[in-house]
Amino acid sequence: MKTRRAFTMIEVIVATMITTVVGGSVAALVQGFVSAMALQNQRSEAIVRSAGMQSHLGLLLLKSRMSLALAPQRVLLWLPAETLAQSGSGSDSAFDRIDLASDELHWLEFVQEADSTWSLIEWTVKADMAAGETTVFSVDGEFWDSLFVELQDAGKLRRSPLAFGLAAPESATGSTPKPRFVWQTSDCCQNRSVGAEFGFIASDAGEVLRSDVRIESALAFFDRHPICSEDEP
Amino acid sequence: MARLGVEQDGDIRSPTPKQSDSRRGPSSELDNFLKFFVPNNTEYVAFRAFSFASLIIAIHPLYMEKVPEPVEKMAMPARRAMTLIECMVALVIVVASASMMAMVVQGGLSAQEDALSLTLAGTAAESRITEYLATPYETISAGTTNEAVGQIKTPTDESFSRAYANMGRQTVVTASALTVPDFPGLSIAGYLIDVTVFDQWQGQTRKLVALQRFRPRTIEETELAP
Repeated sequence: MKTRRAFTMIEVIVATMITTVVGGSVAALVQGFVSAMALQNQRSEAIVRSAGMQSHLGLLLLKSRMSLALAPQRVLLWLPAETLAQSGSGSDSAFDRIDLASDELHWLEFVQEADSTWSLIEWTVKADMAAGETTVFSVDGEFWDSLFVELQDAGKLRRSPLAFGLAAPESATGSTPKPRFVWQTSDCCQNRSVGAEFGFIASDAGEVLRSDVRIESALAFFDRHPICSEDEP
Repeated sequence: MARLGVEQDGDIRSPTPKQSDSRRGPSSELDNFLKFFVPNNTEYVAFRAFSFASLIIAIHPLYMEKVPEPVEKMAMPARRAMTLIECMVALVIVVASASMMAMVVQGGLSAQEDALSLTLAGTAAESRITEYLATPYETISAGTTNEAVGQIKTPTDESFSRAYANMGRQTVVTASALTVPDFPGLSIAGYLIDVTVFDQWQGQTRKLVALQRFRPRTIEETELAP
């Protein structure tokens, strides 16, 4: 049997250096791939969710007659179930009635989850509403907030998540603590647009990847409820 | 040359073998039997050689098992080390493969970044359109509004987030009338709103999104007009 020659010190050093360089390069490459994949996922989600939310918000506002309540984390849209031809006879007409049992009220709300991320939820009234409590009139935001809490406590609201994993947008002037709704004017009888500002975040090796989005749509067929005129002096 | 079935020294098909043949023993009987099929001498010799070779080939594996190879041949051959050229070629292949993978991933990232930019640009353009759709008709005026890169504003005159920081916007409002081909004589007054969102890419202005929307003068606005 032949005697095997041992490595010299130079050979070991050179081999160690080559191994270190190659190993470091491979590790950097793998790390780069992982970061790239995380960034790709985050951007993909931002693109898809933004497009979906823009589409859904646009459809809701296209059907909306007006916004009934506007708050940074919750807005209420009124989508009449009747046609415009049924309007014109004052607040007693079917078109002017805000019917809880006909899926006319849609609340959009930013809700903070247990993991501190935000979700955009759409609340609608369940169809099993009693007939005697279906017609309401008001332009008072507090009234609609009270009605929301009342219906929610009674389990009469249907919860439809529109987006998960949202975050507060990071505006150029500073960080906003929460995602929020935006509008043209806080006067519901004049407001003709509703939008939302939110962010998508993803963490990768301690680095936070962020994409902030602002979506906005106009109420294409804005029409003031007669109660607005009644409140005017 | 003998013909098939006929031999020069006699008829082999005779059931009684010759005396000389009987002295040969069983082998001769086999030969005669074989000669029945291969009567020619030359062919018969060739047939016997072929049969012997076939037998050797048939028992060859047994023969090989019974005669083991020398110890030197059964030992594992010595493993040859890789040469420097082989190592370098392998390294080049590894580096080239890694580079190609990196380029593919980078290409995907760039494409997705562009897609996200286009999505955000679309929302910025839609925001501008929304502003005009929500504005009372009487307050709209024709003209061009340019917002430089990083200076675009929301309808409430707020700044967009950092994601829009490298975008600019141009809005062109033109007084126009909408005609419907199926309704001759019908003309709806309004404004044509063109919104273009762009950014700076490699020192040049790159158009990201262009939206066009018609803002009609509604019946209510017509009736309320002085």
